[in-house]
Amino acid sequence: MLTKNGKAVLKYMSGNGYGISWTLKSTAGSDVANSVSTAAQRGNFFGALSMMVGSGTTAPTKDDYNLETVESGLTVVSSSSTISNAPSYTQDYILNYSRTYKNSTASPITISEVALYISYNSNNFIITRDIFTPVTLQPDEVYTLSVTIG
Amino acid sequence: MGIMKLNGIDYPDNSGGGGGTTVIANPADPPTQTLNTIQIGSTVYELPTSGNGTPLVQIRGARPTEDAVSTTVTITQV
Repeated sequence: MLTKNGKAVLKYMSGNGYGISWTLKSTAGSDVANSVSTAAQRGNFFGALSMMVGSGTTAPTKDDYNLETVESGLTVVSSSSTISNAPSYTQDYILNYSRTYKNSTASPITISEVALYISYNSNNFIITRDIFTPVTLQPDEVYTLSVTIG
Repeated sequence: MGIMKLNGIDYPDNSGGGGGTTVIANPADPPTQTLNTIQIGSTVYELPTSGNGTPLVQIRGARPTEDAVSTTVTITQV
């Protein structure tokens, strides 16, 4: 589900030029004013997309600004996204982000929620949050999680 | 049955034809005529949404683009 932060990002993308200021709610629950005035800053903003996973099961709402229970015990193997300065016309979605996780611990780890977020000026802003049927990663197991906004 | 009128117009409306042919007057064009009242005998029934040409069925507007945007999640074991 696209959060209010995510909607704000879309509204920002529809703005005219780079001289845009807007407010997002960080994962800490704080309203943070952001501004972008150059193409480089814009690139930094959208280039800072990432993914986090958790074990929460509460249905997402557009007011979510953090995961319910962040899971930080998994190892990130690789990440990829479709964010590009020249997206293809045939790409029938806004963006896709995938990340491969490995359970490098000695204990099973269960995940059931995922969020895409943007890191900017030392703050994290969740733009999507979704839940899914819980998946338990046994030690050394590897899973790829993919989120598409479209 | 006594007289019946739709929007005050006799039904059947034989004003444009003879020989007992049932004729319903074409609605004004434009705009499309909306049925507001039905009169049977001396009683006039006013439809709930009648008046000012309010249509009985309103076409819902398109949803804002933001609400149409959705997310899809997949998870697969490698």
